[in-house]
Amino acid sequence: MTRGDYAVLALCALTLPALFMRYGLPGSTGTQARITTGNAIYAQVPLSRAHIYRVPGALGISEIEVRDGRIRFNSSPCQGQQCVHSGWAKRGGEFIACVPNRVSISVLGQGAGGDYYDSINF
Amino acid sequence: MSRIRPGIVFAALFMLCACSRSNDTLYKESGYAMGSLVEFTIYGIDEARAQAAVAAAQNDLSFLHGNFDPWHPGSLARMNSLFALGGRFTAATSVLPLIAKSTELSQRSGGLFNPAIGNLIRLWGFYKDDPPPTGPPPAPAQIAAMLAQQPRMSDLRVTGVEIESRNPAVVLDFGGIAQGYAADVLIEGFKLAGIRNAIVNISGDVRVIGTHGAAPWRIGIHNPRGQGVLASLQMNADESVVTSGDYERFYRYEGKRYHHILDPRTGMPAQGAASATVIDADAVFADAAATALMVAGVKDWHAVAKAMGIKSAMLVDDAGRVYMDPATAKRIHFEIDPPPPVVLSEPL
Amino acid sequence: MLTIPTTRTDYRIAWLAALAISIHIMESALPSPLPGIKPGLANVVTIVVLCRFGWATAAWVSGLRVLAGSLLLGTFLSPAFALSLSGAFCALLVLAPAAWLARIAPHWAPGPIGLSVLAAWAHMAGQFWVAYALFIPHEGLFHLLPILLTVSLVFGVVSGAVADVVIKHLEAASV
Repeated sequence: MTRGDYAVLALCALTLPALFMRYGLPGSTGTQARITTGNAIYAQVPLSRAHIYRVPGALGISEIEVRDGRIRFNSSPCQGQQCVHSGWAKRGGEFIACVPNRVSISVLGQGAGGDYYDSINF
Repeated sequence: MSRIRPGIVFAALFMLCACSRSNDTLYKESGYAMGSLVEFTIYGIDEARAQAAVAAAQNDLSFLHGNFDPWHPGSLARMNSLFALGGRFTAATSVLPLIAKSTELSQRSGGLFNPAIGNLIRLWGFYKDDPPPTGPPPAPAQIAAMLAQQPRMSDLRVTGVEIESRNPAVVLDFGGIAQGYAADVLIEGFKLAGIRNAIVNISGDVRVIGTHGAAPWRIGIHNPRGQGVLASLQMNADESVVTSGDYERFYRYEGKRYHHILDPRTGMPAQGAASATVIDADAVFADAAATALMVAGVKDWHAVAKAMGIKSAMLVDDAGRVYMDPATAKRIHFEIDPPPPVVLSEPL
Repeated sequence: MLTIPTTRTDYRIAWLAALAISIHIMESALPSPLPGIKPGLANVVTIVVLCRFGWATAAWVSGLRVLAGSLLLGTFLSPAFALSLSGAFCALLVLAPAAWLARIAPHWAPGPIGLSVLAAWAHMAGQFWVAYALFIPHEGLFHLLPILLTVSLVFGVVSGAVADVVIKHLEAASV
């Protein structure tokens, strides 16, 4: 083994954990959520990456937060604020909507099992 | 040198995707129809047929909504204004089945489910979605005056297609039953179209038929206090689950929560529960029953459930305690950790 | 009759490529422990050739292996061929500066194991990128990347060690 070999192996040893942290294991953190405005899909976002999305709706901007594999309405221009009170969603099939602002979030299931919930009764 | 061939992994992924499209066809469509959130889920038929069935269902729904909306010009609004005038007139035939069903269920609930109190709902402003009501709540004298008029479903007399109200204060608002009724109608339409596995979810009122392949449909029930899903429920092949809750439409005024489910006895928002869930074959029954149990509250729910013939129910109170019958408890799977305290009733 | 003059290098490339192709085809018949994952033993040849005869010869051998291997396996111009080609191309691309480093600073250059790991990762990354860009543009694919690169690293070290032994034997034989 030469010094160059060690350098290459060290590089790999540093890169791999970073990759695992970024992308995780297949199937474990691949959950995504679909954000819909009106009847159209606005975006499909991974729950593995913390981010705040500002989604324009019928009344104004809904702020949607992704953190720790969960998603929620952070703020909403609607009066009722039911969407914000609904809190976090994380399992496939979970669904939160802001009816007045016409913005909704559905967590998408993945793999053979698909959605954990087929529909939400509220 | 290593050479891992992802080609086969990718090919396998391709095939998985292809499989899920051909053998495991789950068609889902959601959107806003007439101000309410509607979601259709269809399993086991090809996408084109599912799409056509959903399009037809959406047409049916907008027709029903147009007929059942008391606050915009339409069949029900016209009938409400004719009730106030007195005398007999020809009813809108599409509304008659809902009137018959509501009259029966209102009687069985001892008046706790009462769609004739549209005037009270108008007074509170809960018919408005946009903008929603903000308070202050109406004056007690106004509420008392309306209660004194005692509008009831039994004030209506239906003869053939003709109808008359013996009480001019009757204003029909089917908010506590129309969505369940619509879910039943749309599912009937699906059945006629040859669909055997489907979910219709109208603003949270869920009716299912069939299964999701080998597994039953699994429905998440919203947590009225706290966040997300309280419990999940595996559905039988032809069944409905409907929840009425104080979180669906409400406002806060001076720190107090005022919600849209009014107690016909007091004219005030019902106080006895945060949410009431009823499981039944028919969504129309479950919808009216959930409204009645919400008004009955955690003290009286069991007696009202027995009187109405409810077979399966679950209530949640303000503190998050769960009340249910033993048969329901067997089916309910709590999704929150730790699970909430449960108060089991006698069997229904 | 038209004859093309052949050099000693041409014969060497032909022989080595034939060896690489044989290993390539034998390996494709081997049962794999994980679906789609194989220890690219044919690339032991690439590393040995690189260390003994330089980058240009290695590039020829590698290119011929991909081309002839796909023709013989019947995957020519198929997605599998595109993945194979992009992998080999990226591996050679990364090996070029490494080979150059070996000439100007032999003490700092990676030996067979380091070269093998570098090539393995480049191969994987190239294939992955082509798979994502051309065939499956789905974000979910990235969740496979860490696992694939981990296995890649292990096989890279193993192939490198094999190449190291082969090179030592060749050196002993030629001395």
